[in-house]
Amino acid sequence: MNRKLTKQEKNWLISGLKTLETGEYRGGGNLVSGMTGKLKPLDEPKNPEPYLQQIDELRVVSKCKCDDLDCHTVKFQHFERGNCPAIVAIQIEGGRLLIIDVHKEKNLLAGREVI
Amino acid sequence: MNNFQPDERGYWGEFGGRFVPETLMSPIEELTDAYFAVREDANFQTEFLNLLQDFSGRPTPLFYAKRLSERLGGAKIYLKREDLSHTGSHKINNAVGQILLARRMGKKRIIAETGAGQHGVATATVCALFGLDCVVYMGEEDMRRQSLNVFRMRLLGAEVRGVSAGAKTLKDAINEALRDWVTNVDSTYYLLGSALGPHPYPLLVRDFQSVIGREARRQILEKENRLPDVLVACVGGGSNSIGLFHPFLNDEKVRMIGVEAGGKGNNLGEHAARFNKAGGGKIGVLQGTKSYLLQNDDGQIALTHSISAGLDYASVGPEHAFLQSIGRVEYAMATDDEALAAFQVLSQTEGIIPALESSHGIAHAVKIAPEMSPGEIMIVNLSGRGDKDVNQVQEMLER
Repeated sequence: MNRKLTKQEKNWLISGLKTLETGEYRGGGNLVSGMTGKLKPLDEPKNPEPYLQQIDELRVVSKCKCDDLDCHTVKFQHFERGNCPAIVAIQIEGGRLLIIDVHKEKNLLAGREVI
Repeated sequence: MNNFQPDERGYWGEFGGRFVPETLMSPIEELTDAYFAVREDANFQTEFLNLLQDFSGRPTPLFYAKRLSERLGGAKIYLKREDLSHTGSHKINNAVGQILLARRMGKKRIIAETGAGQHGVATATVCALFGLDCVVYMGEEDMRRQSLNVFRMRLLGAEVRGVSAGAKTLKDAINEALRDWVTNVDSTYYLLGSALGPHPYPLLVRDFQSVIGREARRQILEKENRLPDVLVACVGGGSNSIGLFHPFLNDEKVRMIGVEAGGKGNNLGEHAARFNKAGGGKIGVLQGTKSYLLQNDDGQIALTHSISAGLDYASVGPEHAFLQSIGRVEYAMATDDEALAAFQVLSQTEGIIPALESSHGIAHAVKIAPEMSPGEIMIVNLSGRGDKDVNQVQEMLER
């Protein structure tokens, strides 16, 4: 497999990466401190631009083999197992989890999961 | 003889497996390799058993509940006193095992989820023991019900993060812990508290908790010179029950009963009895594993209810689902009211205040003991002590 991203796939990436600038990229906004009882602050904002600029060049090189028709987990050309932690993990419509992985050394978008 | 081990993909029959985000496949494989390396490692097992003995206070006693047995007028009831373990429940067994594993893997930061708070306290305790950073996720509803345990975790140096999403209970706490893990995989070890989740967690939690059943087996043989007729334990995720049951699974004459939370009714949302098929229990996948789940007709995970935070969960460990499917273990329910009554009965007949979770097991023992003969023996796993529940019970009794 070696294909461009679909429009929906690009939209998922853009909406997920946009949460970097608001600090909601790890589900912030629904965690309460056990110490103070107050809502915990969001994570530190990050600039999404370096990632957004990569989207047009991304290629899907493999797809999850779980057979679930509603699974949209794909790997991009930069994926390398064990080297690609998530930078975004947020809840999207329908209670699903959108995860965006980045190659930790090259800082390149490496995969996207909608599960 | 069946060894009741999962296959290499982590399945017991059709239950179990590994349904996780791709991001977690690498750390899960790393964990699997690390666990299988220590499983047969004599040094690791010795260190584990030494800590259970010197730090946790094992072996826990097997106590003959004479007044309760006489009051019910049937079987001779023994209590496996996990409530006397350090931190107040069986949860410390698994926490000790997994913290040793995390150290072997070089992890410096530990995350955990907790329902009743007992696993959170056990995790915070072992992190304090080894000087590791600890973050515990807990639903806000559970934080309200278990405020004492929230304070205990803070006192032990853990950061407690309340989850205000969803029903604000265990399922939501697990979601947040998984979210934390996918974004911190390199530094972080996820110390899962029950025999749930993706392979190898159900297996390793079962193995660490099986010390309960091994001790109980040896103790009952010493006291009665024979095996028990019945084992009873409450089942939330299922760690205390699988820990008791597992060393007896090949003893065909030993009947085993897991007791789920019957809550306040049989409708979806009123209970947490996953094997209650009329009440919405169906096979599905939740939080990494395939098992029985409470779900609506569209397959959406249902809200659950139980008086007991530790049993208030929509899924059950996959090995339990398998044992139910082959008929080796029976599963029953105790309602909130029955558990509340059992809480008081045990307090007043034996001077032991049980956890509300364990009270479900006691409630079932109260139901079936009178139907058994005085020559028969029952062991009930008293998985935890009820100090944490006293305020909640006081509120309910004074309503």
